[in-house]
Amino acid sequence: MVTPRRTQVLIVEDDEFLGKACHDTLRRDGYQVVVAHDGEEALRKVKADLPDVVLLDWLLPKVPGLEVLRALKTDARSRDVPVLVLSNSSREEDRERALALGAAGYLIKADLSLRDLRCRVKNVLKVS
Amino acid sequence: MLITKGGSTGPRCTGVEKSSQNAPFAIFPPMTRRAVRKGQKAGSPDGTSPALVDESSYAVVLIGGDSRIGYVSPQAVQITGYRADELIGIDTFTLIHPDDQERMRGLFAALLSRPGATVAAECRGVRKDGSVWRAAARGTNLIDDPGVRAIAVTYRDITEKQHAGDARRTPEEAFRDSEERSRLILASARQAYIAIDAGGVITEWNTAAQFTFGWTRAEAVGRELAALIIPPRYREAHINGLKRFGETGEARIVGRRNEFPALHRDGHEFPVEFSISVLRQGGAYSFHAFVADLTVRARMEAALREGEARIRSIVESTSEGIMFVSSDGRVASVNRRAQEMLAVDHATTEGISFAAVLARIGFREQDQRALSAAAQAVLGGLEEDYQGDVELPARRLVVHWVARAARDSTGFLTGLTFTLRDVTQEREVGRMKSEFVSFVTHQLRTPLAGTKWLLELAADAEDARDVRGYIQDAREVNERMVRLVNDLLDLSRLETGALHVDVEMTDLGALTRSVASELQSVIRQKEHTLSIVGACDVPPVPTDPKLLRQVFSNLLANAVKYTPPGGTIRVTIRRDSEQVTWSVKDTGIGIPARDIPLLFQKFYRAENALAINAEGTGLGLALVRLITERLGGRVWCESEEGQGTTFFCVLPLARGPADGDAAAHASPNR
Repeated sequence: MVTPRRTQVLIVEDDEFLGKACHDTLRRDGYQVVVAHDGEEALRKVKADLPDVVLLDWLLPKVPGLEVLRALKTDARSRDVPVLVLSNSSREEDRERALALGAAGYLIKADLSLRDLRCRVKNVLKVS
Repeated sequence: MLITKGGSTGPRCTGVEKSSQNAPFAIFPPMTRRAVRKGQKAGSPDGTSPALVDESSYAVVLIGGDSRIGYVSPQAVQITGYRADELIGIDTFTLIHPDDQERMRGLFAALLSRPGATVAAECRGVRKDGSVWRAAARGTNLIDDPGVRAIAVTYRDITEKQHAGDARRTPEEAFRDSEERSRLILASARQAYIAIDAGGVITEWNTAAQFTFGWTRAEAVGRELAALIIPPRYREAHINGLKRFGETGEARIVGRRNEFPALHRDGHEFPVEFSISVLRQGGAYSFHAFVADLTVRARMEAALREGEARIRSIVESTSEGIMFVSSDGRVASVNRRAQEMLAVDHATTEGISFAAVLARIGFREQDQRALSAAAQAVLGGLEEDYQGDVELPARRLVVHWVARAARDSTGFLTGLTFTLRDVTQEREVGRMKSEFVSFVTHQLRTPLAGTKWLLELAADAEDARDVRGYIQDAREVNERMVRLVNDLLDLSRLETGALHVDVEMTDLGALTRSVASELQSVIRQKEHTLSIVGACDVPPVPTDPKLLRQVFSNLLANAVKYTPPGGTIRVTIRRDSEQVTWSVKDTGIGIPARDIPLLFQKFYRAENALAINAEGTGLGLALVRLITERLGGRVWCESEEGQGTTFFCVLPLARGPADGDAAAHASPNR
């Protein structure tokens, strides 16, 4: 049984409320939204079902965002999936490392509105 | 030590000479002797006067203490090109070349302060037409002389002489000049110069001799040397020596350096060093000696040594490292602190090129390059100073250095000094500060983003129930932020001792039950079993219940959080004589042994705790420790990774010394 697949977004976020807010707003835009609460769960879910875009928190339990990003970008299967890093760390070295590893963007959550987030997701999907 | 100042090519001052009271006009062209002097040859047989003058070539001016001219002779008018009435009342120095003015002012001031003294100097003057001429001048302070009451200056125009050179002068003039020059040199020598004739009678006695022995020239000349400055016990030997030389030509002390005691006018003896030359003129002979007062030299040497020792001890005791690199690029000295910092010693630095010393110290390559470039720039005169930080990775030191040009009193570059300061701690504090800022920023941004997003969702939601749900969530997130800010404030107050403590008799059992009930929903959700033991057996404790609630709440919440579902959590309250022990034991993930010593530090989070809750603040246990200590108790933990943890909190039953604010304020800040 094959049904046409909706665009899938994987949200990796350990904070309950932030995860919920992202989830709800993107679902309203018609995406299929999957949430992982730590790095380990994120990698598991990517393996099970490759998403079209990943929103990745930087500070994560179990496997940190940096390592999740590295794993995604070194695996040929997931290499081309755009990853937007959502962080609250404004340390320049974090930004530099994320972009160097191939993140499509490094966004500070507190500076971002949900409207901005939806635009960024749409744009990233258009490009890829 | 001879000190020269100013340009070396200009005319020279020949010194200050205190003329004797008996002969104030010795160098002043004496009007009364004009006729006698006229036409006389140099080297006049009386051998007294240094002023071998043809007075017609001399100009005379009398200058008041305010340096204004009071009288001018016709020659002065002629030389300067001004009319007499133009010169009277003007400042003398306006007639002197600007480049020589400062020097001449200095000499004038020196002369003015010493009645009777004489100064001889050459300088350049400026005529009315602006042309420059050269003057050889002598000034005598006759302020005390009731007939004069001025500084009398005689001078002559030596411009021609300067231009013409010696060749054009007659042999007599040349001889006269040379004798005058020698006389001036001897008169102004820094060392005592004495001449005696074959019979031991003093014929020459310069200014320095006057200072050395206390007798003026007028008092000394004509007296027997033996009676004046030779201690009685040596007089006979002296007289015998003179006699022997006269009879046999045998000289025991001539032509070498001798050290003997000498007698001062005031009767004290002091060591002198001297060398004697014999001057033969025709059949006659005389003895000439330069005499050095060794007490003065010894005192100066001691003062110099003391000064050097003082500077060395300052340099050695300072907390800054100091390295001096001389202008040839070699390390000249390294003080003790610099040796400690750089782990070098005298042997591996002094006299060795700075580049080689640098290479040996073990700087990182870029630091070595920076230091080397700084040294080159400063020694090359391109920069006055330079500074930066260097790291010594092997010894975990960060050193701030300043390279500064070292110059002598004339501004000549003699090398460079490196001052070194250990800033390891400062930089560490700076790093911690910026880490703290980035931590707090991160911690505050998470709830800020949460509130913002949830309210945005609420605003866009159509279903009223959704709106309420989002607003409820936003309030919860907001509450979390309030707690975080309060924790940070409490921490800061505890650290500075500014937190207020309200002591009241507190039932620890009731407090524990109250804290547990707040956590009831999470405990039930994780299916933990919680028990509280011994709550009824403990009397009320004098403590601050609000602060203690934070301690219990943090410890119990941790137990719930870091224990996998279905765990057992047991709180025990026990009285041991003068204290109460409150403990909470869980069956959680435990704490790795290496994390335990650091557990109660601010922002520190155990590795396995990070994996469970990445967003934890690392403030909870720091607060627990600071509060417990503030309440006069202490806190610690026992744990085995994978098995569980027990936190212990001990509180005094009697009011301890840390109770009350006065005690807290007196205690040192942490």
